[in-house]
Amino acid sequence: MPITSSSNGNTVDIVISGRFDFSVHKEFRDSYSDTQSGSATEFIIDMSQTEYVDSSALGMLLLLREHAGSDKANVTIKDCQSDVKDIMIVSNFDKLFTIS
Amino acid sequence: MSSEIIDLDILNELKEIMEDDFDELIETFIDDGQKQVDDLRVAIDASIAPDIRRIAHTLKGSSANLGANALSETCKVLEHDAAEDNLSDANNQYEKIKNAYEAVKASLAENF
Amino acid sequence: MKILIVDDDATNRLVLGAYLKQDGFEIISANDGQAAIDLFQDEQPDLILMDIMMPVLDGYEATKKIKVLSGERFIPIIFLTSMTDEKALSQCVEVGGDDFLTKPYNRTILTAKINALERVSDLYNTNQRQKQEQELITRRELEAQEQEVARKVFDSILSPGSLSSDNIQLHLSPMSLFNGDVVLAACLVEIDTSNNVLKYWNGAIPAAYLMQGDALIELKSTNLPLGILGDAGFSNKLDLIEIRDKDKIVLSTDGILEAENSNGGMFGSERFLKCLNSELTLDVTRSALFDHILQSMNEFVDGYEQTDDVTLAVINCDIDYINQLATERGQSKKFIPSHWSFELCFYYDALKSIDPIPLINQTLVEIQGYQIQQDKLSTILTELFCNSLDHGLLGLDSKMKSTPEGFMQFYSDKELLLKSMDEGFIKIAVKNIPTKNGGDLTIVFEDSGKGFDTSKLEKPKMPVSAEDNAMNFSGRGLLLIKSYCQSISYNEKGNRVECVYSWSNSD
Repeated sequence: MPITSSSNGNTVDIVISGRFDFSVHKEFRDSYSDTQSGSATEFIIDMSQTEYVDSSALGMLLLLREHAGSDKANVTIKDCQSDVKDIMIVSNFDKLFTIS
Repeated sequence: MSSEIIDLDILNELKEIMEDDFDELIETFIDDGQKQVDDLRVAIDASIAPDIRRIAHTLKGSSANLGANALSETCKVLEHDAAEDNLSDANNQYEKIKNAYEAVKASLAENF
Repeated sequence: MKILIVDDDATNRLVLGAYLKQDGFEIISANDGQAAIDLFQDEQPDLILMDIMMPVLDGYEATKKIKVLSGERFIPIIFLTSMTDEKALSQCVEVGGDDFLTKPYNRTILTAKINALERVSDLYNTNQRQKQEQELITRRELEAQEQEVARKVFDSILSPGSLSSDNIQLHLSPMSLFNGDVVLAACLVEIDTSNNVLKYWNGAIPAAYLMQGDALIELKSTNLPLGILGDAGFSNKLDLIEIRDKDKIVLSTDGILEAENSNGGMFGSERFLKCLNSELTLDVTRSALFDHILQSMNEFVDGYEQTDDVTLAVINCDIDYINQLATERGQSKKFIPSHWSFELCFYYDALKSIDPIPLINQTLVEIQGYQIQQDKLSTILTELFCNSLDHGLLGLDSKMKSTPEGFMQFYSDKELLLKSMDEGFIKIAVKNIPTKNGGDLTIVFEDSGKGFDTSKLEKPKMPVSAEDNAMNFSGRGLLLIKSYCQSISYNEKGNRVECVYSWSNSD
C-alpha cells in the first residue's frame, strides 16, 4: 500500500511511499476522512518514503489542511527527501504546514 | 410357509460360500437381532422416533441380506412411520416385528 | 485388490464380505466411520464400500475425510444404502461418493460395479503416475535451465570491473564461484549523493551494516533470497537511511560468520561485531577495518580450509569521491552536452495507456546520461503534460478544484473523459542547445484542444500570503514550472506552451 495511516488518540500518522500523485487521491482521502472535520486532530505526514510529488499531491495536502481546520490546522510534513522538500518550499508550503 | 419367513435359496448359497463362517453369521444375526428387537421396545416406550427409525433401518438391512423378507418388510413400515414422526401404530408394528423375528429364529434353528 | 467394508451391522459385513471373498478380493472391515478412516490409513485399501447411518462418524463425514486423505490417488467409494430418497443420494455424490449399491445386495450388480470402478481407478492411477513422471522430467530440465541462468547472473555480478573503485574494498574467496545454487542471497545498495540517502534491498545477507559516526546501524534483511519468489511475490521496495560523508557500509556473506576452525568452532557474529565495534570506539581512520575483519577471521580459523563462500565488502561513502567517479563515468561514456532535438506525438488512443514522461526521461538519459537533473525535469514535464491533457484535450476546468468535493470530482471526471476520448493528440518537442556546462532545453507541448484565454495568465500569480495560497487548490503546477524554468510562454490560441529549462552538469 502506497499510503498507510494509523491514529493514536488525537494524532493521525500518515505514511506515503512511492509516487504521490492523483492516482492515490482516493487512498489519501480515506486516510483522514474518518476524523471529524475541524477537530483538534494533529496530522503527521511521513514523507521519508515519498519519491515524487506533483501538483495534484499539493492540492491534496491543501484539502487535508482545510479538513483539519485551515489556519487552525495542525499538520506536520516530516522527513521529505530533498527533491520533494524543494517542491514544498517552491510552493510556499512551509508557510502553511510545519515542515520538519 | 417357511419360504415367506426366510428365503432358503439365499441362505443355502451363503452357507455354500461361507463354509465354516456360516455358523458365525447365523449366530451374529440371532444375537444382534435379539438386541435390536429389545432396543426397539425401549425406544418405542420412550417415544424416541429417531432411535426407532435407526434400529428399524438396521434390522431391515440385515434381515434382507439373509433373505428374511417378511421381517425386513415389517421393519420397513416402522422405519417409514418413525421417519415421519408417526408413532401411533408403533406398538402394533413392534409386535409384528417381534413375531417375525421369532419365526426367523425358529426357522434358522430348524434348518441349520 | 483390497476392499474395505464399512458397516455398523455385523450381519451385513459378514454377508458382503463372504460374497466378495468368493470373488477373490481381500477384505478388511470397520464398524463405524472413524474406524474406517483409521483402517484406510493403515491398510491402504483399493476400494471402499460405505454404509451411511453409523454411530461415532457417519458415512458422509468419513467419505469426505477419506477423499481428502487420498490426495492424488483415486480410491473409489461405493455407498451402501437402502435409502432411495433423492436428497440422501445427492448427498452421497456431494461428499465424493463414486457409486451406490442398494440393499439387499444383488451379487451380479455388486461384482459388476466393483470391476468397473477397478478399471477406472487403474486407468486414473496409471495416468497420474505418468503425469508425475513427466512432471519430474520437466522439473529436472527446468532446474538445469535455471542453473544455467543463475550461473550467468552470478558471473556477471562478480565481474570485478564494477568493483574496482578506490572506495570499495573487496575480498572474494575461491569459493565465491558458482556452486550450483539457484538461490542467491544478495544485498543491493545505492548511494544517492544528491539526496544523501542510502537505498538498499537486502535479501538474506546476514551481516550488512552502516557505520555512521559512532553508531552501528544494521541494514536488516527484510526479503527472501533471490530465486525463491516468482515475479508476483517479489518486492522491490527499498529501505532508506540517511547517510553522511565518510560513512562506511560493511557487507559480508554467512561464510565469514560461519568460518570454521579445526575444532568445529565458528567465527560467529559476536566476533564479527566486535571487530566493527572496536573500530567505532578506537576512532581510528577506519581504513583498517577491512583488514581487521579478515585478519581476525584468519587468526580464528588458523589455516583450516573453508567450504563456504567468504566474501567481504567495505564501501566508503566518500561523497566527493563518488560524485567525481560519477562525473568521470559520465564523461567516459562521452555524454558531452550536444545539439539534438526530438519530437513525439501521442494520439488519443495512445494517451489512454501510455505515460510519455518516463519515455522522455529515458530518452534524455540515453542522449545525455544522468547530467540533466531528472527530478526537476520530471516535475516540469509532468505538470506540462497534465495541463495539456486535462485542460487542452479533456476540457476540464481547474476552477472545479476550488472545493474539496470538486477536487475529487475533477479526477473522477478525468478518468471518465479519458476513457471516452476519441480524437485529439499531444505533440511534445524537446530541443537542446549546449552551453558551457550543460544546455538550454526547450520543451514544447502542443495539443489539439481549443486552447484558453492566455491573457488571464499574464498577472504573476506567486502567492504572497499563506491565505492566498490556501485559497487555491489548483494552479500550483504552473507555479512549479515557473520556478524551475528560465521562461514560459504560450501561443495566442493557448494550445501550445514553450518552456526553457537550463541545466548544468557541474552539480
